[in-house]
Amino acid sequence: MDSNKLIPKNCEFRITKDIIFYKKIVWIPLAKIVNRKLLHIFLDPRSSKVIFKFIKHLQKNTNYKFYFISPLLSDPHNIRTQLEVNDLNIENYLKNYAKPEFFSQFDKIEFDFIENLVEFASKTNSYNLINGILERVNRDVQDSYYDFRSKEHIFFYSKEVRERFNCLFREIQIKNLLK
Amino acid sequence: MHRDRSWRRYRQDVIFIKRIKSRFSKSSQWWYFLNSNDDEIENPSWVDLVGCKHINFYKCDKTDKHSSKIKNKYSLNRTKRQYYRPKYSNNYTTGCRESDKRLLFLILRENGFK
Repeated sequence: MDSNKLIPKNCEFRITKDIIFYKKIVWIPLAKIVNRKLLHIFLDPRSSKVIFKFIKHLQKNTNYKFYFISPLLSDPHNIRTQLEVNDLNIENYLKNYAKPEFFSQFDKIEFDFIENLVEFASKTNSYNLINGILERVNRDVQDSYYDFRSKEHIFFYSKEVRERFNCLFREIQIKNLLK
Repeated sequence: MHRDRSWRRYRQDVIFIKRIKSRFSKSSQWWYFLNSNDDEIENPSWVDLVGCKHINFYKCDKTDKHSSKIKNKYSLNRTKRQYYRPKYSNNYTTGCRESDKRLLFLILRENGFK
């Protein structure tokens, strides 16, 4: 497939050395072309709007499969082992799912984010890592502090996100059985 | 030159980049640096600041009359609402660039150089 078909219309995009960039003051890396059927998208909250536009375009007009990876992997200077890369990517999946830029927005464009995570984990043989990383991320999600003036516990994340993360591993297990 | 909306947007980006570059210093980030994705980066550059929430303030940064001493906007051409820089005279300067220049020309004229 022609690589120019990957780029949606009316947007400032560029492809150099199999990496797709978009313009937001500077050229920011958006995705990496692995082969003719696979893409790796850098999941970053600063490019959330562009990611949704890009996913819509991929689902409608192309047959590409795509997974999400950490934006730290766009820098080739850092050398990591395969285990570290898998750990980083799954943590990036779960960490960004708690953020308001992504949490409810994936449902609006009818994209199953958790199914994509399970597929990615089974493909990279890192399904066993999910439980440990989810506990680590969930500790940050459920974190709070006590405000002495209002005499209340104040949480950093909303109630919807906290309840979802408490039963997220069960959902992942069901998706893994049904795939 | 045709100054349309795209030109204004381009100039806005140029000013924003200039502000980020002037504020960014590696010495202030010696402990750790977090990018927009809350990841620690070892050798950050000013490009990593683009997209951070606390940096978006610089897009709408303005300088007013009472903002600070550093942002003092003085112009000789301004007639209305004119105000001056604070003068701190030393042995070497009068505290103002224009009066220094005037003094220099006076001394040159007295000695016959001009």
